[in-house]
Amino acid sequence: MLVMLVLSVLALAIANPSFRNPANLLNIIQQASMVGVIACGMQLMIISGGFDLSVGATAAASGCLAAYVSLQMGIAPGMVAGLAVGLGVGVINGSLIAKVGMNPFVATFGSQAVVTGVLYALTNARPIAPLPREWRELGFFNIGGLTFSSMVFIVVVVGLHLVLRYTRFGQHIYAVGSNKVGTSRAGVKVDRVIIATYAIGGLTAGIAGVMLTSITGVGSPQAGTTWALLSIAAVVIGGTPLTGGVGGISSAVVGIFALTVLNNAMTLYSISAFWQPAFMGLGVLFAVGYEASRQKRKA
Amino acid sequence: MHQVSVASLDHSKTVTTPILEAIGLSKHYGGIHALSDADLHINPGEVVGIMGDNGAGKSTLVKILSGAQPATAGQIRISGAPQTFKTPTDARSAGIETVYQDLSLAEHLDVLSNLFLGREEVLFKFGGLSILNRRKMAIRAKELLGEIGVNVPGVNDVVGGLSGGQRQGVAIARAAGWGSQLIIMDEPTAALGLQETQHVHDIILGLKARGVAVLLVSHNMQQVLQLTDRVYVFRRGKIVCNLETANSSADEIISYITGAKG
Ligand SMILES: Nc1ncnc2c1ncn2[C@@H]1O[C@H](COP(=O)(O)OP(=O)(O)OP(=O)(O)O)[C@@H](O)[C@H]1O
Ligand SMILES: [Mg+2]
Repeated sequence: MLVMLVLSVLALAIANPSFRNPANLLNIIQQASMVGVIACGMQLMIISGGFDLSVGATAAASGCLAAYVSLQMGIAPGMVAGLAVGLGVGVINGSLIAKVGMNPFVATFGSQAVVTGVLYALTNARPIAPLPREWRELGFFNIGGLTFSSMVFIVVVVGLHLVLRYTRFGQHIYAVGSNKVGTSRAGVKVDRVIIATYAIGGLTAGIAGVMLTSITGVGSPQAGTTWALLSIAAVVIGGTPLTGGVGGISSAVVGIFALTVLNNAMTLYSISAFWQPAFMGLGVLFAVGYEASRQKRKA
Repeated sequence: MHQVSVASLDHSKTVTTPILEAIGLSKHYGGIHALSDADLHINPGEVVGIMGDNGAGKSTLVKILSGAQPATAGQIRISGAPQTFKTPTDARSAGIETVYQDLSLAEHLDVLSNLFLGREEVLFKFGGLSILNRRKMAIRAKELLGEIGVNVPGVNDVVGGLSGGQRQGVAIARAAGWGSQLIIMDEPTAALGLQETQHVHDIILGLKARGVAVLLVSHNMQQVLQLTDRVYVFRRGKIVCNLETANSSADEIISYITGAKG
């Protein structure tokens, strides 16, 4: 998949001068950043043998709470509150799965519905605005065109990569995804590993929510509805099967850039916004189908 | 022979305290009495066999002794002291290691990671995170596999790509590497060919020579007669006999298994 991504980026760069414009490339990183952060969290949950359908709703709730709290107390407490929501929902998801024994689909689909429901009820589904000026300042802050959210994305990618590769916790995420019963027999506290993994997943959703508020300057209750599926698609496109035990952050990164480049190309070639989801879907089916047939040939 | 000197040392202590003693162990799954009122003991350095038909309760006993599941009733004593095993870690810290019937390996992980799963070597701690010392683990893993005599292509190879015998070897090495006093093996040769089976036999005899006790669950009569000092036979969740292997025979054991005797 990485090969195809590189080839299509090269093809676009040769064919289209506005694509290879550095500003557009930085723009792609920026566009990839929010769902990219979530995809990194999703990567961990998928390696552990699960996934999380509530990340979009959680991101929206985090962004809105961050916005609301910032109106009362300022932007920093707002951000902390937003991240705390993400972490909290993640811990609840992890506990439902590890302690109660629900399967990840039911647990996170349920929590997604509850979070969205509460959020709509509290906000009447209306945006929270106007917000303190600092939000937009943060959103526009950049170093040489690399925006704040792009930097956050890079930090999350590097951080979670290191966790997976070099820490005992990372090792245990793989082991749980590979053989839960066996790992527990080996003395690993499997419940804790699962809860911590979903907590990180929720936290990445919280981070994405706060990023969204900084980029748009409003708290948007209706944001993020496609993010859960997009981030799962990114991980799978990047070559990680949903069966658990394998994969790396590189999958999430490759996948999210593949999706973003496709999106970017469609915009550059002015494909109608109404048609874009269909092409996006075709792209996902093609990429996932390609990976699936490759796995099948290997087996 | 080294075994003899170890054994005579034990006898010189007049009464040997068993390494493990189970008293009145029972396990009920709802209405099923998988194990009823089982008494058994294992002395230091002894190889004890457990035989019995499918569903007789052998694996159930193994899971209780290894802390993988709680007993409904009964007591376990380790070197004379009563113990309750809530988790496999409890059993391990009491010196009991287990090779499960399904091996319980993480197939997607490499040999090294499986050997050290749950007790990884840590380089240093960073915040709440423990950074793995893979180099130290790799060195120890190679030593360990060498000591036990397990041949795998490399410690960084994924377990899912190994042969049945190699996986069995990894599972045994994982149990044998920690200076434990008792290793429980649940049908360790069930899936193996002749050569691999012979290899596991050598491993078991090697452990015995080092003074490690082995509890060997097996359907293989030849193996039990050849390796064990004593045999318990299970039938429908009950222990029906405790035989000295040297003073018994295949026919006698079979008659207990089938219920013609006992
Ligand atoms: N988790 C469980 N829930 C319900 N019943 C169980 C469970 N585990 C085992 N049993 C039952 O307990 C009885 C003993 O099973 P066990 O696995 O101990 O047999 P075994 O002697 O190891 O057999 P085998 O030689 O086939 O491995 C069987 O009737 C089995 O169906
Ligand atoms: Mg069994």
